[in-house]
Amino acid sequence: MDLATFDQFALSGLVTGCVYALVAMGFVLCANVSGVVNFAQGEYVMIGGLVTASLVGLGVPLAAAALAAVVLGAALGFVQERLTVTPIRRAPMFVQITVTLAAAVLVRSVALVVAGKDPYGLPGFVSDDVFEIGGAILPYQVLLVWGATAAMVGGTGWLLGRTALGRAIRCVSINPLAADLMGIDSARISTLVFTASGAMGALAGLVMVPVTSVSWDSGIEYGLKGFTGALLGGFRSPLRATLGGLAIGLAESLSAGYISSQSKDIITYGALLLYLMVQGGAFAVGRRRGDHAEAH
Amino acid sequence: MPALLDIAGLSAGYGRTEVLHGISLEVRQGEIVALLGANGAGKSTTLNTVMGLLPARTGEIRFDGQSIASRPTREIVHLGLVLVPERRQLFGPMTVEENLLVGAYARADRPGKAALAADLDAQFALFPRLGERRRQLARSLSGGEQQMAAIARALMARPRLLLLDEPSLGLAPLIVAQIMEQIADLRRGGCTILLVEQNARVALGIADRAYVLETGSVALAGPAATLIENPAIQEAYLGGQGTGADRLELRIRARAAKYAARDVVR
Amino acid sequence: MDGIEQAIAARPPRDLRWPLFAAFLAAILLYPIAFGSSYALGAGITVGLMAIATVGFVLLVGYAHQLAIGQAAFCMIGGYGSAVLTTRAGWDPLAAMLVCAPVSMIVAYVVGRPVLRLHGYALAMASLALQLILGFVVTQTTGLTGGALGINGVPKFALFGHVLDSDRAFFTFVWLVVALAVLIGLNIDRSRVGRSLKAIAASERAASSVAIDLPAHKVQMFVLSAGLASLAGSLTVHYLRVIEPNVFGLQYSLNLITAVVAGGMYSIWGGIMGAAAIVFLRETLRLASLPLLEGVIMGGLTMIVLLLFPRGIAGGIAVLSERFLGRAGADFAAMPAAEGEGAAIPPGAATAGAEEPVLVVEDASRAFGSLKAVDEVGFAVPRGSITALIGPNGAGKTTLFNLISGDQPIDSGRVLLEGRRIDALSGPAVARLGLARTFQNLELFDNLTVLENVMCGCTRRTRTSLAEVVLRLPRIGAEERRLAAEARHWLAFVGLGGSEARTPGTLPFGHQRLLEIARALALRPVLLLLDEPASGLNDSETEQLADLILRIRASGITVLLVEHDIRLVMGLADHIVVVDHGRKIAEGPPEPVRRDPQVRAAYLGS
Repeated sequence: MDLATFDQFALSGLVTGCVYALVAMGFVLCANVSGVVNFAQGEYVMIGGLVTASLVGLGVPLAAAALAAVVLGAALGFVQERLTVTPIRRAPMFVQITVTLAAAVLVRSVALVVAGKDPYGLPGFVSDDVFEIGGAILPYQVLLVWGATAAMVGGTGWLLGRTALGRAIRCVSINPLAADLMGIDSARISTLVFTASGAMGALAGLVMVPVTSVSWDSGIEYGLKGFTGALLGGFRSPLRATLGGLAIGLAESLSAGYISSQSKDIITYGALLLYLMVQGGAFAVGRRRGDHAEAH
Repeated sequence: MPALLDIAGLSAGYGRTEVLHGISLEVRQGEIVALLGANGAGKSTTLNTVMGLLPARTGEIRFDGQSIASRPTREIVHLGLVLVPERRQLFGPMTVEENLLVGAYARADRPGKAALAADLDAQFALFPRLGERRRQLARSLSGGEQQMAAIARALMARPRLLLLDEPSLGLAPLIVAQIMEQIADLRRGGCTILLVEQNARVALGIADRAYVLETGSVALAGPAATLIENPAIQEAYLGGQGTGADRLELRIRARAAKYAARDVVR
Repeated sequence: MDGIEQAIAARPPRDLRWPLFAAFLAAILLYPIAFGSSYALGAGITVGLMAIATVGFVLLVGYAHQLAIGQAAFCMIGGYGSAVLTTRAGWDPLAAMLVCAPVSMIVAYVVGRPVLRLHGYALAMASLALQLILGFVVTQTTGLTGGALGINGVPKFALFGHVLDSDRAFFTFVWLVVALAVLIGLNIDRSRVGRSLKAIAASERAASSVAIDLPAHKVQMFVLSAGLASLAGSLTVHYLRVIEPNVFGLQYSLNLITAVVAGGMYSIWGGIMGAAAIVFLRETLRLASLPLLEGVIMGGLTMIVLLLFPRGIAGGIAVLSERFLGRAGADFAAMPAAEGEGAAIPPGAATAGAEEPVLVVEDASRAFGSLKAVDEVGFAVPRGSITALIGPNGAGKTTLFNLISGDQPIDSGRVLLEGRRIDALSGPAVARLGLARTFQNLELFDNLTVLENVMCGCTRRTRTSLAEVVLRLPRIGAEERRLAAEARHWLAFVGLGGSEARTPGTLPFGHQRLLEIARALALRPVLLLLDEPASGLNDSETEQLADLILRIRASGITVLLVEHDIRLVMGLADHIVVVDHGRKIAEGPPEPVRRDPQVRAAYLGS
């Protein structure tokens, strides 16, 4: 096997994998603090990319366009939490899924109406040149993707691990009732996490546009693959979810490279389907687990 | 002197069940007041209602003169009422130190790093075992250590009134004695305490006054020293002995005897 | 206020379903006569094609409470299957359709059977993945499916060689299929399956406790809905005469979701109304040349309806008709009690092996982390006894109770019911062996009537298959009458005769407790587990409860109760087991237990 080719596939996979990783992290953070799995998570990425690209197309400076996109992503996260998450926190799961899914449909459909069907692209933010690493050739933009991802994952890790606010977020994730008893406002924490995850999704989306073009329907792919990553990581730890996201990116890119480019989605979605089926089967064989630990 | 906590005619419950039927009690500054009773008598329900986790259906709860009935838990914590919940409810995947730091989250004085570190040290001086285990995950602690951590976490909030829900729960007698000693120490340090206990003897050992709840109503109240000798306490827990048996119990027994007789006839 | 509630509860509900269905059939036959224009017929056909899928989807979403995001995958299987078989292999359209539907159902079974054991979002995601995979497959297999271009020249639908040439004929056929779907739905709704599904929706724990197999019921609805979606797909292709990947793409799946939400997902008729609403909206947008707005409208509509009017159009109509016509619903209360059936219920199996204890717990242990909640506890429940399990708070009673009832797995030790190990069995399996239970915080099925609640308890003795339920063969009617009679017997037994038609929420608290006991008794258990039955009851209610427990024992059922109210325990039990710190500290008759120094220390402190 040619090592340079392998490097090329692997590193490209780690670029898209970054976006999946951030979406996966958003899934887990939001689900933990609110108890609702937000199926619109991938749409924030689409909004970030589409808003930046279309504003730049209208002549807005890149920095201003990017800022607008991030603010819009944050606003979407905020509005979504208030309108589509808080009211249904105690609703049955299938209602929760339907409501957040409908929110996703609404967001992408508005994007279609405003931005049209065609995909948008952007030149590299700093340069369109490429560099070589281990025989692989990559555009300089991927450094921005990696840098932004590292900053966001690292920043989230620092916040959760080292700050009072981060500890409060973890408390709400672990035990909302006990968090309330510590005087933590769990409703506000939930709003905050959704807002932040909207902003981070948008940022991931906008740095990605020069690498992969974006269109109104990109969100579902990012969402589904990020979800698969989160599932792979156990859906509990934000860090493990990001690793799951990276793994999905890697697997997808390698299968596209070595098998066929058409096969990559079938392989990813097939893996998701199989994973759910095997997990469900194992669950049945392995008896009920002690989910209500400490509930005695 | 006006009471620090004043509960009057309080009713509350879960869903369709009313658990408390109009109870009244008060806790004065500097006291340890014990709230006793069998399982299901309404002790925890009282604490949960005070903390705003359950709505008060009727009645009034006043803390330091102001009404706190049905206010959000967060505001009640800010006023200085802190609950050490039943079964500790520590944040298991977080370290002991982090658990304690969370306790200071809602403090109105916004302590800086140095002040927090000093407060942490104060807790570790009070509970040396916790100091040894400060970097361990809370869920790896033994039951007694978990109880200490839960109390220390609450103390980090500098409570004006500490509410303890069954601190002896599931602990071995020796550990229970230690914990009770530490609670008595807290009071000597100026802390006011409302102690809910099922273990009547140990609670009465450190309390100034006590209330005994029976099916959601206050059945007995008085100084701890006199209650400890009162046979009615035993009745509240185990029913009467022989002749002193409860009327309901006797009626039920009579019915049972009737059925048994019918069986014999058959 | 109270009076009005009682009046509503007392008024016998009218069963409007069959008159409604007859009117629906008449409308199907009259529509082509009244609206003969090709536009009206075309619109009617489009609605009907979608309604076949949405009526099935209602069974999955509104009844089984499961969302399949990619439901159109099954339309795709039907559509492509029919197209390929009729154009490439020259099959008869009817035969092709009837082959594709079982294929869809098998796919649904293979995917749904494992996935539906998982909670919540698993089916949503799995079905979406399935649809996307199918989408890629049909685009890639160009030779067979025509790839992105699809297949043209699909023949018109034909019945036994007779081509349905006119729109009028095709309209009638499509709507007869819709009527068949509605009939299946209504049959399920009024059967034990519909009752079980509603029970699951109200409380999964309580449904398990009366031996209702949760995953199996969800899988059945998924399979049925897939079959109907496949029929819709096949018929649509014969109407459009073409198929390409986008016909049943993601947008179609989303439209199906919007349709059941808007139409009313808890009503079979809601499926039809939703399909009509969606087709109307799409037509309006097309005429206004605003097709791009479709997603905006659908997404927004779904959200608004779910947040503000969760029962959709059908729910709104039900509210209106209730106001003007009185309550509609299954009329079990008015059902005649079949002579001889259920009149004298033989007591639980009190005969076999009178010496052998009903329940034996051997060295049971269960730890949570370092905490040993139950530590090598062993005891036996003598047959025909009233045994009480007591202990201070946190002693491990509830954990022990959960180990026995199959709610939690055991770490080591054994639990035997009549000599059979039950510690490795699921809740429903334990219930099927004859162990019934009640819940500390009442878990009643609030969406069913009092009588139906108890009928759910009889489910373990139903013998009919899903196929019989769907077709409503005569055996079903007889079985329903038998269950109703039996349920009525147990209601009378606990003293709730006359409340059959009410909903549990309208009963006073003490009566709700009794209802739960009646539901448990309907299992005809050998052992009845009561979890704090006296909590929330006043003294006179507690005394009535004691009397009921004595009568239950007299009818041959052994009783094990976990109870806080020591007066009830001491007055009632003939055998008491005391646990503290997860260990058994005493066992025996009431008086010795009461005097036991260890027990006194455990309760009062030492």
